[in-house]
Amino acid sequence: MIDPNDDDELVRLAQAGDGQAFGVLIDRYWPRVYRWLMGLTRSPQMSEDVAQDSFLKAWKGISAFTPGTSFRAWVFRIARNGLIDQQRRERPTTQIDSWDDQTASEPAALAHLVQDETRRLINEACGRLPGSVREAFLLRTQEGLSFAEIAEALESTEETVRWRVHKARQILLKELGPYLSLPSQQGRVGR
Amino acid sequence: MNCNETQAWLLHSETPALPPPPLADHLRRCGTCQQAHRQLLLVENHLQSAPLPLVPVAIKAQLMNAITTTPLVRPAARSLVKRRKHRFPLEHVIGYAAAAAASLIVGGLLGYGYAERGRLIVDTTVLPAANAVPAESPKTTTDEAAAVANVISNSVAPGVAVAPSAVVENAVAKPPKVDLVEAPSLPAAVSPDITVPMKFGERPAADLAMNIGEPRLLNDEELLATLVDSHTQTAAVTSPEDRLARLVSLSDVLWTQTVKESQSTGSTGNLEWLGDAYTTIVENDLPAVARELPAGQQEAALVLATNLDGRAAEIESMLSASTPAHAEILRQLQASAQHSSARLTKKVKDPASPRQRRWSDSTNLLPLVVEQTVAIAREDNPIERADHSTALAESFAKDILVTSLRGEETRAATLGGHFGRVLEQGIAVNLKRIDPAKATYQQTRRYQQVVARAQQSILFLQQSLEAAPPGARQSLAVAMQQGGLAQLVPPPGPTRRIWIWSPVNFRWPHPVHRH
Repeated sequence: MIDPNDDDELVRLAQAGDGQAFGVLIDRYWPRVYRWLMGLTRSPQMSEDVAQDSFLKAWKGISAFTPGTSFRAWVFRIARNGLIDQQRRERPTTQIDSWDDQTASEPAALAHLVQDETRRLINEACGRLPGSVREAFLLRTQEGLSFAEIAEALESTEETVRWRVHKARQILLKELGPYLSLPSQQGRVGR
Repeated sequence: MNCNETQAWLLHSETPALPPPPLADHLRRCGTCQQAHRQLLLVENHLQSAPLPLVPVAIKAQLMNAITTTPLVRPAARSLVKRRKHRFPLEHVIGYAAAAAASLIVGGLLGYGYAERGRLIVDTTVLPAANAVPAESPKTTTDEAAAVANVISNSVAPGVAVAPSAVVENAVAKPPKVDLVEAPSLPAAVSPDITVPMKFGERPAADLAMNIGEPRLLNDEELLATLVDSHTQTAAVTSPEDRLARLVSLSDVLWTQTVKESQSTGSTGNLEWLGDAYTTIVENDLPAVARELPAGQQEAALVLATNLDGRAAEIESMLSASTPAHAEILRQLQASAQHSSARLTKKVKDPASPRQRRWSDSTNLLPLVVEQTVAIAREDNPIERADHSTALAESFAKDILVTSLRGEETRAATLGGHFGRVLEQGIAVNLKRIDPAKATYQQTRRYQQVVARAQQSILFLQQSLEAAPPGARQSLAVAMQQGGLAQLVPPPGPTRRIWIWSPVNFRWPHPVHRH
């Protein structure tokens, strides 16, 4: 019986050739990898392609994965390398201004509208962050990776990652501070 | 705890939602810090709650289908052998050794040469396919040299100055790709990953792109692409910190390639200049750029010094497994890293004379790219930075011609791509930083010279295309198309139109300070 919460067990089974176990890992991490890539590229097509390719590469190379280390850091690293490769080959064709534009289409009450607007502003500000800063910051905030895991995923050092997250926070607070400090925003969206 | 310490912690912390007690106490008392804390959590919570899509059914199906049909790649044979070595009892090892010795003798008797066996081992177990040594490039024959000379003499060689005004007056249109006139602002004109400052400890993007795991020995073509990446990325940044980071990244590429080459059984012939380039950059250029760091960023130099100490220690562990000749090169690398670290931490003074560059005399493109990248990293004047990229563009133009004459269309196309990138992301990106409203007369003149020099390289390609023998025309045309210069390729027929490349829509101010 596969324990779907245990990455190590799933990886061990996958290394033994169990495709179903790897399928569980796909279910768990494909959405996260895709969301992260979307945050970096704003291109659904490119994100989908790179995410798909990353999981294929991960499957092919799963035997080389060292048990006991972070699978999610490893898979994000593969995705990052895939993205770099892809960007070298072609430039993004379809870009969207805000990822939420795709999902937040239903009518909403005022509070939701304010929340959507805040999210839109945050996403836009995030999209303007330098790429290396953004990739580290999103891995920390959205995916909850530790600094050590991010360093592993980005093949960098913890100090560098910490610096990048620091920089991202600094830029975002500076840029969004005036908007976020409005009493109405704090009251409505700070839930 | 004061406000500065609290806000520094907020920005630096892995878990800003969980402040330690003294900081929480300050947050309760200080309205300003409380607001910053609240805003930060608000931003991070919003990002965290962004919707997570489900895996689309079609994609999951495709992946599962691929998984069932794709065999797992087992670890490299070398590592398997290592593991077996530890697992096998000693008597088995002795038995296998005896059997191997016997088979060697029998093999020798049957006429199987060691060379053949050696090649088999190299091909299948020791080196991955990508590390295979590329076939040596054909040398330029006398006929080819004559053809090159003939074509060059019939065209305007790069580097020959022409009056900028004459070139500008001939302008009739601008090609779409390299014409940056319509670009709304500098960041938009450059692809996003180029403007990103790279920080210490980061591996270069191209290095990452090459593999999932460890960096490997690149062949010449891959190394050239990596170095051109490094050049354009260095051209895109301006601050001393970012320039230093790019230089560190370049030195990392050189270090990796030197080490990998020294460990390789094959050779790409680059070992000597790679080692020389690394040592001069580390000893001369890194400390020089580090000195330009503003007072608040001096810690970057310390990070770099730690990085170099790590490199030196890494080499120590490699020495025992190296041949004497390679060990000598590795020791040079180690000594350079140690000297540079000591200079960065100000434990020793700068030497009276910098280490001499021996590697930049080469006519090989690879060290030329390194040389111009280092020059850009050390320069903060955008016009001079653009000029260094222009020198590189000239070298590419000449190589494109030589390659086309050899009929190597694929390589010519690759070089054309590099040429276009240097134009767009090396030269234009820096020239666009000049504000026409604030340009002095001297700056304006220098700007004109650099633009004219860049145009000269393109003109050289255009004229080469017209003068080249039919066999080379196709390669040249493809190279120019790859370089974003498709519209500069003269149309067939007697009509001759010269298209002029323009980096920016620059309106020259009237010189007011004529000397």
